[in-house]
Amino acid sequence: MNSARKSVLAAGLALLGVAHAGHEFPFYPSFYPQEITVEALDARSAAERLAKGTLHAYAGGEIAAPADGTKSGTVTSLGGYVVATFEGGGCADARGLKDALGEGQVWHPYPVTPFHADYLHHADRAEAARAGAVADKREKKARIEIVEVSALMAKAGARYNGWSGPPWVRQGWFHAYLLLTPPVSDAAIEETLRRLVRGEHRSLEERVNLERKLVALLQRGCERVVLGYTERRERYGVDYSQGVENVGYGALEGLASPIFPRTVKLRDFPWNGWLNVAAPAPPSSAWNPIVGGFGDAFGRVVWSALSDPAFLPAPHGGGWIENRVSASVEESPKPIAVPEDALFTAGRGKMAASRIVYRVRNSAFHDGTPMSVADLLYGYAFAAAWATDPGIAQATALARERLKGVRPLRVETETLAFGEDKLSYEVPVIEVYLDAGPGADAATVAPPWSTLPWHLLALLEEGARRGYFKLSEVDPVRNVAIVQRLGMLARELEERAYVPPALISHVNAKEARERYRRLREFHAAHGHWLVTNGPYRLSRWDGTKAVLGAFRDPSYPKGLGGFNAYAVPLKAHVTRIDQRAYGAEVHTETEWLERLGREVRIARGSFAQRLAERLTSAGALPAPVCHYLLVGPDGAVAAAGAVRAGGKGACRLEFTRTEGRPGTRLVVAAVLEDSAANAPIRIVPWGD
Amino acid sequence: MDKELMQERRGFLKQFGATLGAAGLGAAGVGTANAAVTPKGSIPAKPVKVGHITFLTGAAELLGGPGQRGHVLAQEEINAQGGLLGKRKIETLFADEAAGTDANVKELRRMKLSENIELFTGVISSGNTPALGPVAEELRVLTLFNDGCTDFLFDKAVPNPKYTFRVTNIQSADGVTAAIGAATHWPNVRRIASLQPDYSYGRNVFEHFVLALGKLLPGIEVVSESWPKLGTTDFTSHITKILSNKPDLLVAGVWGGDYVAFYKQALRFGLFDKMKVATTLAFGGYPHAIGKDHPEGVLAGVHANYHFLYPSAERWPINKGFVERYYKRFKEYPSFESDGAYIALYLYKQAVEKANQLVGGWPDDEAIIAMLEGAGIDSPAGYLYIRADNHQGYKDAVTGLSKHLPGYDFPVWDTESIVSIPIRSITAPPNWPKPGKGHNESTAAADWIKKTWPAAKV
Repeated sequence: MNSARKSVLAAGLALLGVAHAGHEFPFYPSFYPQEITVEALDARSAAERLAKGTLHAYAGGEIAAPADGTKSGTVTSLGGYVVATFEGGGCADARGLKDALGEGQVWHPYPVTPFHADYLHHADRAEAARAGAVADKREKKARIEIVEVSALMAKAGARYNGWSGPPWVRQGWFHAYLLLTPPVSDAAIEETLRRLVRGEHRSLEERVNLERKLVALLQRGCERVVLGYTERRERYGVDYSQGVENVGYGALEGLASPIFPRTVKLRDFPWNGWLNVAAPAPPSSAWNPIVGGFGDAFGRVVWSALSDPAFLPAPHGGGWIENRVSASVEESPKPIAVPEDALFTAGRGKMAASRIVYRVRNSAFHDGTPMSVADLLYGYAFAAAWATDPGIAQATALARERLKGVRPLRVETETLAFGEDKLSYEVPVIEVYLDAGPGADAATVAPPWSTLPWHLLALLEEGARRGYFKLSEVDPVRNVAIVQRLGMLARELEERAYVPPALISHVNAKEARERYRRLREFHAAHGHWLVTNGPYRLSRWDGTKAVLGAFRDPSYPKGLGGFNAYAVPLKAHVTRIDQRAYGAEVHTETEWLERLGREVRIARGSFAQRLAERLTSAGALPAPVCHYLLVGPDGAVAAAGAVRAGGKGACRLEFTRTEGRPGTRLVVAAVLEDSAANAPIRIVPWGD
Repeated sequence: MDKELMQERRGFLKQFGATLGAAGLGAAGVGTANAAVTPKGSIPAKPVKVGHITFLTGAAELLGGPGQRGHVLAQEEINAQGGLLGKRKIETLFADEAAGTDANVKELRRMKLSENIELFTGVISSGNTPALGPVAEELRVLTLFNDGCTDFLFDKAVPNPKYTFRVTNIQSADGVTAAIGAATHWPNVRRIASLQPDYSYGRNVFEHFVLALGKLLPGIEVVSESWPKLGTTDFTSHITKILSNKPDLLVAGVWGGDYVAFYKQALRFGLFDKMKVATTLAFGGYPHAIGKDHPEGVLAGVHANYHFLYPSAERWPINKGFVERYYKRFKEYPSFESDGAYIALYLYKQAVEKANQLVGGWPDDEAIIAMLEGAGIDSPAGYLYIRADNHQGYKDAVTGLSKHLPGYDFPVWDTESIVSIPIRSITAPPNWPKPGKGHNESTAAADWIKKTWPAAKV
């Protein structure tokens, strides 16, 4: 036996063991499949491959239902909006267009859909709009188009380097704004939007009323009207040996969502295995990692696995999931002084509205270089320096507008230990000052995060300075000429030991040279320059297939199974609503997953019974949360809130008597684990 | 298999008591898990709170999930009979072992100090039991680990246990059992290759396997060592290295998804046609977790503890009933972790009942501990004996060859190939010096094997 085998696996990381305390090490970095291959297939070929079991999932396209329905599953997400543009006419004509909708188009003449997490705020109005359909055989002059939700979200703001974009980018009211903004600026609309995005509201009721007002203002023009929506139905294989399970997807993004590679599991493997995914067309959009790239389905699947954002979008909710950072937001009614030594701020006496303390989970980049505070700071420096690039300017506008200062506080070490086998992580603690913040989502605006290493950003910006490409257009994988030019440039930067001016006090020449050397080695091994710190590494791109290998580096802080709670959107159901002296008592039932042998099914029943069994829960069982609105006869929201169910599965909603005027309606949905999208909603008359 | 050599080897192995096929059991039981008793004295109706930490997420859920189910089945059965002593229902607080050792220690303290648990069970990781055992002693919380099987727990971490017990076989038995299984089935192997995860478990398996096999088969030679690091997914270089050294036998301690990735890659190289393969944990997780393409004839380890096909239904109805009830409840077959967690709760039940018969009323921990020390219970796996001196559970170790049998759409054991080894033949006896007390072997078992096992003659 090799004596005293002790392995130092990476800088700062040790998996040490001695024979006296050994057992299977239970933490595996990255996610289930060891390799993901992405290719383009037309629908027929995809259907054949799915039937044979050589394709596991088809992202971004629909294929016909297979003959053997037991071998495939489907995820349904929002495809796009059906929008009519009228020459004259408008709202009245739109109500008569229900029969004009094509196959697979759902009549829903309201711009916020059940797939949006904020649909509850509009459910009564959407219901009224649906009910307003009239039979009308008259010919109407209208142009009907499908606006893909993916295109709409791309329009909302390109993501910059692992940042999240505007916190409201997945909200229904914002999609309504993007869809229906009149060509001529409307002061009322812009003012309402401004108040929403600046967080200028004192209560949830006020915010919901602003959202409803914005949508109402957008709809009053009637030149452009939403008629309904389409659903995106994506198939995956479920056959035991050759299929997949645990297939996470986004209500708006479908399979081309970050939650997919973080949850999907091959059925024949407890972990590992080779996953095959296809998209309907080869990539057409540049694989630009800085801003706005990976715009088509193929690219989105690839980038969702390669990159690691600071926050992941909650796949069926409106919020954000902490991924590589955790944040503690300090908001104050009084302005907070920004320390004089804070970075990315100018002058003394600067004030901010909020202070956010981040703990960042560093890891190695795919070229083996360890992340450092310099990488995190360079995300800010780069955004500021390249605001001249329209793409970067747009993607970072909100962050640049609100950022008032950044200050690294310290670097800590966190350890995950199972006895003497240990993994240690470097955790920089960094405070960020913002001048405004939309509540809890403030943390997503300008996090200290970069999914790209500073040396790659430096290489790319040097290329841009020399006029080789524009930063918002560069493709360091598929553009052969650029890939070659970057090779020469990387050698030059290594020889010069180039350190960007913003990092002079953080990086020395030796470190810089080592970084470029490792980057060039990565390029030599993989044929491209796309180095990130995500869970999968682009092992190779051969012109038709992208092969992504799991980055099972011990420094990677997320492990397989870590996002399982998001794999299947479980629902709660309102079963009864009782009027009480204090308001309303809402009774619920809840769903849960039962894994029985090779089968997984959703069961439904009493939360109290579930609580008593506690079979699948670690710690507290997630309780249903009742989200509600009390809508007055004038359409204004008099009360709104969210109340967690008690041990018997009932929520106690407390209203004042004046909130129960005649004509009032109670809108309520029970939501489990933030899966508000498609939550069943009950609307009942309320009051005397 | 060479029949002549096999018989010759069996003669040698006979001194270890290893038996092949269905010949492992036959004696009468020492008790019954479900025997009803009439409680003496007044029994409170207050539920018994039990804490159970196991892997509910991550890779090791493969082990923790079946364990949790075994515990739940026992709890439901006992509660259906009215609870412990017919009065006290069991309520379990589960927590996720994946949080790591420090968090597990905090959780045990919380369970005891805030939730006032009366019994603590579960724990899979051998990294955790040596940390939790001393805390259980300090908190004076009665503890029945159902795994976390490192020898170190009772060799060093809790050398004089009072409150801490463990029901599964110790870890050194893993490598030794694989060695006896290999020697039984393939007595002519001499050139040995090893593929072990590069951390303490792999080192433990390798050490004890080579030590034991060296005693069983004369002149063995380790011709190849591979130590894939945590997270290795591409085993190609290890496979080609193994093949190039032309071993007769490969011993593999890689587990779970690593084992599956390995065997699927090894199939492409024809590795299983070129050598025998012995594993310690191939069948250790959910039985249905292994694919239909798994080769037959692999020595498929179960951590030396239990496979649902053994003891056979005809010869050991306790196992038949357990498997049937488990399958009915969970639509799957139990693993060794299921058996361990299940019998841990029944062991507690039995001790409570015996203590009640002696002292009346609800017995205190001292009385329950007295009944646990030296206890025997008929478990689904066979007889389980709790040694009084070290609180360690002992049951016959088992392993077998993989085979695809009708009725199962995953590989199981060839029932004719199962090797059952009396546990006393492969574990150090009571009071054998522990590491640091007159020897510096890694385990008492290693020292005992080195010093007492006869070496096979060439």
